[in-house]
Order: sequence, then C-alpha cells, then structure tokens
Amino acid sequence: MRILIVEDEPLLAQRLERFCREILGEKLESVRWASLWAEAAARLDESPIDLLLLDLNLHGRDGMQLLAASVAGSFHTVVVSANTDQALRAFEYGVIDFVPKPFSQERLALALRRASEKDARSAGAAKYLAVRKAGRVELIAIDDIVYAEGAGAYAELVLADGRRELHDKTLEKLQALLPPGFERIHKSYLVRWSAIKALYAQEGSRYEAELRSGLRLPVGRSRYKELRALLG
Amino acid sequence: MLRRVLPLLVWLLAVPLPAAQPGPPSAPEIRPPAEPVLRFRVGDDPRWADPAHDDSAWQIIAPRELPARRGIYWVRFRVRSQPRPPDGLLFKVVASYDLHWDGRLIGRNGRVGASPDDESPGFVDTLFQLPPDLLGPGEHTVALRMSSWHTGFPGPTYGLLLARGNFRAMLVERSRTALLSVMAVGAALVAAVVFGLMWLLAGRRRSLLVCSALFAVVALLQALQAWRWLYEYPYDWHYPRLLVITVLATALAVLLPVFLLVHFELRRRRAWVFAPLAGMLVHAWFSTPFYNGISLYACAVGFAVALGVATAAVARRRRGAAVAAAGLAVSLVALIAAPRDFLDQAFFLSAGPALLGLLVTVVLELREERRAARRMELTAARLETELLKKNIQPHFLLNTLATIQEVIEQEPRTAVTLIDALAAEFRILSRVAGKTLVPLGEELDLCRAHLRVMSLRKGAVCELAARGIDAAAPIPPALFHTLVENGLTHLAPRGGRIEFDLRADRLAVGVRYTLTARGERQAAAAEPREGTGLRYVRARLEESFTGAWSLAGVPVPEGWETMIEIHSPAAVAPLREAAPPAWPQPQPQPASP
Repeated sequence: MRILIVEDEPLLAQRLERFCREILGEKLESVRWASLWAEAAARLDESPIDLLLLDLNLHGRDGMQLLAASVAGSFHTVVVSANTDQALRAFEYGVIDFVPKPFSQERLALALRRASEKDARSAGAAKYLAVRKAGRVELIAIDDIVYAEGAGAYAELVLADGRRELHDKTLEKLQALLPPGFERIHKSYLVRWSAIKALYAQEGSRYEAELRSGLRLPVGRSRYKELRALLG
Repeated sequence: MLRRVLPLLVWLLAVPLPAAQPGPPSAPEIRPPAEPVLRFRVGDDPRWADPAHDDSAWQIIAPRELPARRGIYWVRFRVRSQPRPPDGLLFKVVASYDLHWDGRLIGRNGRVGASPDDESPGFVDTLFQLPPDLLGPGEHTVALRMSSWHTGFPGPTYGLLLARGNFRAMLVERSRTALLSVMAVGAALVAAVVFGLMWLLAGRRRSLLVCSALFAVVALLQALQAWRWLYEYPYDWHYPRLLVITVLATALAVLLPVFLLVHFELRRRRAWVFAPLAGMLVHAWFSTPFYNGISLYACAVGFAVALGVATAAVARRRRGAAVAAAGLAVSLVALIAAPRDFLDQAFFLSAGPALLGLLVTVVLELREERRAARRMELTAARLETELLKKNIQPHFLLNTLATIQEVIEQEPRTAVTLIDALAAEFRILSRVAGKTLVPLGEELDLCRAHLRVMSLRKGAVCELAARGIDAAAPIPPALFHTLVENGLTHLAPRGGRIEFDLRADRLAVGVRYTLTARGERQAAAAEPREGTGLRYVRARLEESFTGAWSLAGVPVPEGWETMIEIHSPAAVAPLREAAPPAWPQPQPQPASP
C-alpha cells in the first residue's frame, strides 16, 4: 500500500507514519509526507498512491474544494482532523473514514482496514461523487447514479438522465463508498438495486438484469443465485 | 380655575422661574375698581391724618411713581367702600409707615424716623385688618406717614401697591402662594440634584452638569421668591434680594444657550452665540435701574439666543432639537406678548414650554445613550464569547492534544514543557477574557505562550520580538494573539523559523502598531479573506476606539505585514491595572515525580 500523509505539523506526521508502519508492516509499500496538499497533489501523477491521510481545515469554501479534488482521485481519502464538526460533510463528499484528532493507533488501524479490505465500507454515507472534468472537479449526486461500469483503472458512472461520467476510482473503491443500495451484479457492473426490474437467464448460462429503463446488463454467474434470492 | 390649575401642573414638572418685583401682588386679589389717586407731600404733620384736611394742593403721583425721598413724607388717598366692605388692607411698599384710616391710627409698619438712625425698617408686605366700626359705606381716607431711608435702591421712583379684600381670604391666599413656590423649589432642586448625580456618576457629560446648574439657578430663583411669602423681611433686604434675583435671571439667560451648545455639540459656534449674548446682557443691565426690567430683558435675550442655537441644531438634525426649539419659541412668544405676566407668577406658564422642551431633549439623549450602552454591552458580551470560543475551540486544543500524545511517547520531558505552555496560554486567556482592554505587556505574554505551544507543534522556532512598545499601553485582549494565529495559519516556516516582529510608533495622536510576520507565504493563502479572526480584531478595535482606528494588511517579501493605527490619546495612556498577574510567568519546569 502506498500512502501519502498531508499534515503540516511534523510531530503528527511522524506519528501517522509510525502507526502506518506498525499497522501495515510489510504490506506498506511506501509512505510519503507533505505539509501541504497543493504541493503533494502536483506529484501524484508521477507516483500514484492508494491512500491519502489528509489533515485539512474544512472550514470555508477552500477547504471543501480541496477535499473534493482529493476524493476525485483514484485513491481513498481518510481525513485526520480535529474539526469533527465537519465529519458529516467529509463523508458526504466520499471520504472512506474520518479519524478525529487526537487519535490512537487502534483508530488509525480501523481506518486503514476500511480503506484496503475487499468488502470494507465507508464509515459514513456519501452523498456525492467527485469527478474530474476538464481540469476542475464536479460533484455528482449519488441519488442520480443508476449504475457504474468498471473500465480497468477507471469506472464509468451512468446517471438517470443517461449522462456518463468517468471516475478515477476503480469499481472496488467505488463500491466501498457507495451506499448499501448498490449491488455488484457483475465484476464490471455496480447497479442500484432499486433500478433493477427483472433478472433473466439466457441460453448458454448467460444471465442478464433488466433495468427500469429497459437496458439489459450482464449478471455474473456466481452472483445470479444470490440476486435471484434477494429479488424474491 | 384653569389659570390656577395649569400653573400648578407646570410647576409639578419643575419649571418655575419667578422674576422678583416690587410690583403688583402676585396672588389674585380682590382689587378696588380703580386705582386710587395718590397725593404726596414731604414733611410731617399729625393733622395730615385727618380726613377733613385739604390735600388738594398736594402733588399727585401714580402708585408706581412714589419718589424715593430722604426724610418723612405723607401719602394720602381715598377709597370707596362697597355695600359689604372688605376688611383687609395689604400694602406692598418699601418703607416704614404709620397707617391712618379716617384719621385713626390703625397700624404701624416699622418705625418712621426723621433720620436713618431713627428709622426702623418695616416689612415689605403688610396686611392690616380694619376694625369693623370703621367699615361704613361711603368714602374713606387713608393717610400714610412714611419714611424710607434704607431702600438702597438706585431707581428714582418705586411703587406703593395696595390691595383690598377679605382679611381671612388674603391670609389664605398668601399661604397658598408660598406653597406653590416651595413646591417649585423642591421640583427644580430635585432636577438639579438628579442631573448633578447623573453627571457625577454617568460619564461626566458636560451637558448634564450645565443642565444641573440651570435647574439649580431656577431653584434658587424660586427660593428667593418663596422667601418673600414664607418669611417676612424688613424692607432694607428687598433690593439686595432683587439684585440677586436679577443676577440669577442673567445667569439663566447665559446657561440656556450654553446648555444647548454643549448638549447639541455645537461648541465650534460658541463665538457666534456668546458675543451677541454678552452684548445684549450688558445692555440689559444698563438699560434701566429697575431690576424687574433687567430680569425681563435678560430672560428675553436668553430665550432668543437659545432659540437661535436650537434652530441651528435642528438644521444639523440633532436629536430632540426640534422639541427644544418649539418649547423656546412658545416661551419667547409668551414673553413678548405679555411681558408683565411673564414676570408674574404666570411665569411657569410662559417659561414652562422652554424648560419642558429641554427636559425632553435631555431625556431623549439619555434614552439614546442607554440604547447605545446596551448595544455596547451586547457587543462586549459577544466579543468575550468569541474570544473564548476562538481559543477553546476544539481545533486548537485537539490538535495540541494530538501533538502531546505523540510527544509523550517520544520524549516525555518535552510533553511536560508543551503542557506547561498550553496551561500558561489558557491562564492568561482566562484572565483577559472578561476585559475590554489589557496592558500590551500581558497581551504579548499571551502571544508568546501561544508561540511556545506552536513552536513545539510545528517543529519550528516561532518567536515574537517587540520594539518601541509600552508594556502598559492598553490594547483589546487577544488582538495580536489573533493576528499571530492568522500568521501561523498562512505562513510556513522558512529556515525552520516563523518570526513575528511588533513595532510601535507614536503618532501625533495615538499610536501605530506594525506586526510583521516572517515566513514562507503559502500559495493558497496569498490573499487571505476576511476571516473570523480579522472580524474579531475589527470588532474589538471599534469597541474600544470607536471610529478612531484603521487596520491594513499587506503581503511583503518576507511574509505578511499588518498595520493597526489608533488615533486616540487613550491608546497611549497607561492602563491602570488593579491586580498584578495572579500567576508567575510559567517557564519550562522539571517534571514533577
């Protein structure tokens, strides 16, 4: 795991780094530290990361813009901050966890688990997904998303009005952020459960889900039985 | 009835000013149908008391034209009795005399004398009761044997005033007159004391002091008026008393415009007011030897000039100026329309509107002040809350605690230092939180305590140097502390240091503080927006130095510079602090076992 710490107080950065090493052990590939998000963000393309530990003063417009820019990235974001009154906002924007300061090693370990384990879920309820569009960041309301389609390192979000938006996160990372109403029906599809009208078994062990819009999406063989049962 | 009740109402509102006069009786009295013809002769002859004596050759004089004379002289006149003749005879005259009614001596006032030593002054007002057997219908002859050595009056003539009426009714009337006067003294005195105390206890507003003096003068005038009714005095006291009354009336004429000038803050116009006022008052004093004339003139001048000032105040939209001007205008019209009544006891009807207008003006101003004070109180309370919130906010404290957690695990001794510094900062904060102004020295202690905490947190040397400052100069609490906080937020260490430099420069009036923060300006913070910190600084400056300050911040090559100018002498006057710091300056201490 590659971790970037953005923290302007060196002692706290040391603490985060020390904890990361102790918790992840050999699973930790690299850990870097920057005192400002701006200077760290510039280098993200050359050296990608999996997790951002971000200390951010979320008060004001600047703070929220920085947060949006950060959660639009391919990595998960964990906010480590004393501004606990901003935790709900942060979760709405799609951070995977919010670690209030002061913090213990156990609390940070929980955040790291949420950010890395396969079936882990965000500790809060995201309301938006931030997507990068032509150099700026746009927020998309999760309520508008019908399904997400994986495309390698990216995911494509399909909205109720038919628009498609590209998100930098993988489908796995999105799944961790999206609320429980989304089901993984296929390794490449994450669909809003309420948008599914019916399931069909086609010839040749092909399975499909019909959405309310009439669109049909493939369903993974292993998922079909479970979904069938869920649909009743 | 109305004429009796209205004055009483106005009196209760504390607006009396009687001009004293030797003239007409103040209380309404039953007057004879026509004023008798007075005949006057110098000399002394007991036969002149005889009604049958032929006085046709005597000099005829008007009642107000009694010539002031040395020696003994006689005055004779005839009165006609109605079917039911009144048995009371009230004389108001500044002389000693023997009263003869139809040739019979029925009373003496003082002792008439041929020389000043022989004479013993009688009372000014004397009420005689006529024996019933002398009250027959028809004409009666009154003869007065008089002397007036002790008048001391500069005028060429004086008055002899006579009122006839029912003896008992006149006695009652006299006591009523005194009652009204005493009430007026009380009311005016209360107003004077109240305004005096307000001046003393509520901020020393000069207009309150002038207002108090004004009502004190009114009270004195009224007391001198009441003196005549309450305590009879020998006639040689009459003119000294009138002189004092005229001086007081003149003082009133000066105080009225002065009050308005001060109250409406038109002091720059005072030359325009005082020159004509002084000129006219001097003219008043030399225009006539009659004190009541001077009093009347002075009052008219005072009202007119005050009306001018009030009108100027109306033009400048001063609060309550219209009320004051209206009151003065009404009184001035009353004075011009009925000058004689003005100096009568109807005075309070005439002068009442003017004084009432002034009272309303003062009360309006005080109400506004109360409101302003209330607003200030609320602001102060809000600022105190803001200061505490700003510093006890979770952000600062929790971040510091997070640092402490780490330091405890790495080097426990540093943790103790950090906790000490944090405790020091909060001790100073709790000490200054409730105050509007604190000595600059204490404010710098607060900044340095904060910088000690931040040095440890940031892993950089954060320091504050001060030059040319006066440690006793007053400054709103947490002012520089807030600016230092802002600097730490927007600057990153340069060469491991963030330095603050506070310089004080004396201005012609007041002081300029320049706080330079040296560090690496962060791109995002190049143009910091007006945050809660700066709003707090502005609110605090406005609270203590209303309208006399400025705040400016500019980026400079080495970091950020904030300039605060306070154009007020209060900003450089040493703050008297009651208590020395309750705690010793905390220093890094060895950990206790």
